[in-house]
Amino acid sequence: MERPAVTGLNPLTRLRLLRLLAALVILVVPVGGTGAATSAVPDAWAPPAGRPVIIPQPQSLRWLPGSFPLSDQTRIVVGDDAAAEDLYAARDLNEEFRALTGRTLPVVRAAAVAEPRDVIVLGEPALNRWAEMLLAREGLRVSPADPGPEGYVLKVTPTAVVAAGSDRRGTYYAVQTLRQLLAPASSGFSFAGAEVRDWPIHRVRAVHILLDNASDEFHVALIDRILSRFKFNTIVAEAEYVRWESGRNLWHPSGASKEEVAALLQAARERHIEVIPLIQTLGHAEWLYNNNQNLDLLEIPPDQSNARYVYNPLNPRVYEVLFPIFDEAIKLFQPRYLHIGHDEVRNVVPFPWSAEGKRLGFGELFVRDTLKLYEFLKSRGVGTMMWGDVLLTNDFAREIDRLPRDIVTVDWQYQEAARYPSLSRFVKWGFPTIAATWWKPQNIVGFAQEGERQRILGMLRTTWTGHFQNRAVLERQYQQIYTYLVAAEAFWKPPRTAAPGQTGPAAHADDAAARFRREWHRAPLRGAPVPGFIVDLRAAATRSHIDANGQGWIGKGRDFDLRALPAGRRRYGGIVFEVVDPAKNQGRSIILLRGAREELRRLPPRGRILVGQRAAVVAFLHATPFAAPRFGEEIGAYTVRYGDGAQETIPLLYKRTIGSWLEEPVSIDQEIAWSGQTLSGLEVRLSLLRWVNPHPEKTIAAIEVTTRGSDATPALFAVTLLSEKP
Amino acid sequence: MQRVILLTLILLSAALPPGAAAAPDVTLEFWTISLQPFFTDYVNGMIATYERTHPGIRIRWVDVQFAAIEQKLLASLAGRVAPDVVNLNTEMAIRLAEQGVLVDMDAAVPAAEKKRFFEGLWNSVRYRGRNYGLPWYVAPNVLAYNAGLYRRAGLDPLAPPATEDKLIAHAKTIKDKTNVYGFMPNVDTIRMLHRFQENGLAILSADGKRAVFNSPAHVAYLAKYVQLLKRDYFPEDTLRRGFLGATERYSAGQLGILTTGPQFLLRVKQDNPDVYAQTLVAPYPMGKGKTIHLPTMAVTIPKTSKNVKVAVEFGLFVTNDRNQLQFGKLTVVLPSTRAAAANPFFKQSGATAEDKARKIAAAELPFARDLTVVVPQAADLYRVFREAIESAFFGKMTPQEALDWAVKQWNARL
Repeated sequence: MERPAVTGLNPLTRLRLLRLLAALVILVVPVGGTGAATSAVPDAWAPPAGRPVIIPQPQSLRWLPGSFPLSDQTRIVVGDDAAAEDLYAARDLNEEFRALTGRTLPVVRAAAVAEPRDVIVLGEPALNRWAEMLLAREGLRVSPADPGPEGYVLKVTPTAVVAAGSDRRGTYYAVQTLRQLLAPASSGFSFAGAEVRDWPIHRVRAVHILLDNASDEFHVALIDRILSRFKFNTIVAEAEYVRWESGRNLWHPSGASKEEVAALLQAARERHIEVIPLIQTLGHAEWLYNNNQNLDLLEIPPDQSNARYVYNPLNPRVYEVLFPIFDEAIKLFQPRYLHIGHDEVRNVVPFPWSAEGKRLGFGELFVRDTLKLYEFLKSRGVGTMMWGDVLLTNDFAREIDRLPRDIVTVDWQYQEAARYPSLSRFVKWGFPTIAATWWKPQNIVGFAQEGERQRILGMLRTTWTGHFQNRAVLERQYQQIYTYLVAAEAFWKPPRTAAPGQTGPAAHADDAAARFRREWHRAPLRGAPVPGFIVDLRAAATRSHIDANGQGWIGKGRDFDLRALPAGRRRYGGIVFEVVDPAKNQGRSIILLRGAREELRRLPPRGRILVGQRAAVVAFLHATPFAAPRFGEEIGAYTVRYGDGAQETIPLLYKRTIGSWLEEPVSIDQEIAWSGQTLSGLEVRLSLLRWVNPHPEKTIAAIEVTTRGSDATPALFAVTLLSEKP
Repeated sequence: MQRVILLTLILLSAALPPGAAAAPDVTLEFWTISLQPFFTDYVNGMIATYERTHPGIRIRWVDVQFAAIEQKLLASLAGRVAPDVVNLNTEMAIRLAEQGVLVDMDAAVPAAEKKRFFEGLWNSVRYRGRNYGLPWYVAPNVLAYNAGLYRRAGLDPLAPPATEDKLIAHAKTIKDKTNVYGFMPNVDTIRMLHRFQENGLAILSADGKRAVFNSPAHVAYLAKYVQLLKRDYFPEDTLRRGFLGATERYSAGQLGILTTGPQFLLRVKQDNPDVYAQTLVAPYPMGKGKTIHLPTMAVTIPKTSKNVKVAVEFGLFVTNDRNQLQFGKLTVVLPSTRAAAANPFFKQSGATAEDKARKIAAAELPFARDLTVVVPQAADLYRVFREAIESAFFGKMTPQEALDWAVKQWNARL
């Protein structure tokens, strides 16, 4: 039902509103249209429908009818001899319940259970008799060899859930899958019925991080909410800037303390994640000279550019500095391997520089340094891991045979390629090898496929954010983080085809961004819909989002418009929006304001939508037609004007709360609501801004849209009001 | 390689140059690109002269690697610790001009000073009608080649390739006969845009509103190099390490031909005197467009400088006739000012490879212009183009698909 915006208000409010409008009409000329209406919808927001999306996709998944409801009687059942490590899975499950439902379930030993009803049974069958019994009853087999290391079977029926691993990690991963099956039901919550048989393709599924003095906040949350849930089992942590006692003179203000690292290690250990410290040596050695220390170790004269990039491996004092730090790292991390870096040694400076170094040659120096570090680590019972790029260069071809074959080499290749031939060279040389990708989906997927073909040790997703890393990476380099989900999927089960978008639920970047965002914020689940109002933009619309004749959208014709965006009511991000059909509104559907580009110069500088409703949340579906040069630049604003004359301003910050229709999000703050393709095949997207109204008790009289008039001018496609915060 | 250049805004701030120390009246921070170690004395001398003649002004010089300077500058701008005077190439300067962080030189520089520069060069750092950099030095590419490898390949070292097709033929022969790569063509990243133009292939329509680099001729040109890579006629790191990788490989005696700015001969001389001794130079093989790219270095002033007026004065001092002439005599670059370029020194011949290269470069100037494509949203457009080229080379797309895709992306943004 539609009604004029100013009806339904008390007379005083209406009078104030009319005065305000009169004032605005006088002050603001020209204006991109006035007048609007709202229509009530009972489910302006609704919980996600359909089956849950499991990441990574299991090797075998069969949906079953029915579901397992959570009740007051439901218990988590662990083996009678379950150790602390076995209880991590139960703890994770309860943390999930608490976060999403506000309650937890009792955890009991098998001996305390008389019959397997209303139970969630966790554990390897040899360690939990109820798991053994339920599996036998269902005709399912689980042993250390079947499905194999880290593998598991999960079955959800209306009476019981069994999550049984081939080993402890397998059980843990069964629970990570189970967590993703939890959904609100008509009354309470339930797990979707399913039978899963699953195991990983890549043995090592790693993420590379850089430690920071905010690591204990950011990385612990990352481990808890993302890495463990999506079945990563290894972290390679750059640790050279940790505040080592044996290197106090090198401390950096942003360096992590050992206590902070210990917190991270504890979080990882409790989630069955192995942490490998990485300490850069030979190249990328600036940390050794921090605070102007150790300048006697320089290979390059100090007055030269980037002299602090490398050290002189012929100077024995190098190792007097390095080894105590290695020892400390080994004591703290207790790792199986220590990653010594050793990449890009010659990429920044001419190395070797000294006459003696030149006489010996680069290959000799590289081998000497590697062996020195390798022997030291070996004496401590720790393996050596190192980047592989130098081994692939001509400079090193003659020296390959001198390197021990138990060094784990990490072949980093960041290009999006059809094949990755370098990997086969490492395999042929006989090194245990890990393939390292960066963040582009096809790089991740393609390299994981190549890794499977070459039967390598595993995969590593690198993350490059300078020397340190903290929560700021989510706000400025989000693409480097949300694509962890693409990696989770590709490392566990490399897809059969390489094309992103067809390789699984996380392979499309926008899907991964949205899912990461949900997992990171992890709001309580709500089963009931939220009523609200759809705001009618017809009267205020200034242009069409469809460009049939060079007069719509950005004036570039049908190949470059948003005709892929359906007109009418559709649900995006759980919220119903109504996009106006320009064919039924005199060729106008959106509020696009004046911009610097020639095509947009004749548009009005502001628009106003009359509302006349209260709202707890105002949701905007919007984009900019062109990019702004600076991240976070304010390109315009929404001004919410209340019936009592008060107002709130919502700044539109480029790449934070609004983004170009052509660009991928780089901030977790920018929520992508819709994505599609132009006729010319370009990926395009609209953002969703959920604004929580600080005055939900007040009637919103109008919302005004303004622009700063740059290339990145706002385009508003739809507005919906939610009566409550979902 | 990406690790080296990937110093993000967020985290680099910790590694920013410290703020200027307590100083006289004014301290300017001056960033240059890769001028150490070869020109340390020159720059220090220039600064000493300036400080002596400008009491109360102190210059703090920071030399930054080419690959790092743009990110480092962005980080310093974000951290409000940006330098006062910065050397950038045209491409970087355009990107920063678009962000509105550079001083408008058309407004800041007196007309008489502007006239000192070649008009074409003054216009090279022009964005939306305004100039954002003082042209400093230019260095058209020349051909340097290893005569020893030429002989081993059965080629005549006295008959260098005069055309691009001949260059490719020589490179193939060197690889076939010696198993050493013949060349590392300048086709990585957006340098392919320069190659297109050197071959008479347009990038934009006449009105500048449409990208047109997906014609059959463009596709064939790209496909030719994709095939050369597939057949291992140049190494894959060409696409990652560009001219730095090529210089390094050439200096190690592992590359037959180097097409590069002549100033890089000094690096070869420093790194490997034996290879340098084998090095001959020749004019850059002209493409079908009969023009060659003229990379231009500029001196820019960030708006954040607290002493813009003094910074502009210092920029004009760095780029004045005397200093440019002196610089040109030290290396193999050419000045951007008329008076300095007219000096007979640049027409003299000499015995060394640098002397010959200088004369060749000066003779190339009539054919040279800065082919940097100036477009709005330059950072996005360049990124798209780079991704397209990599997609073609690494087999993600065919050359046709890659250029079609890039053209569509450009057209949506232009």
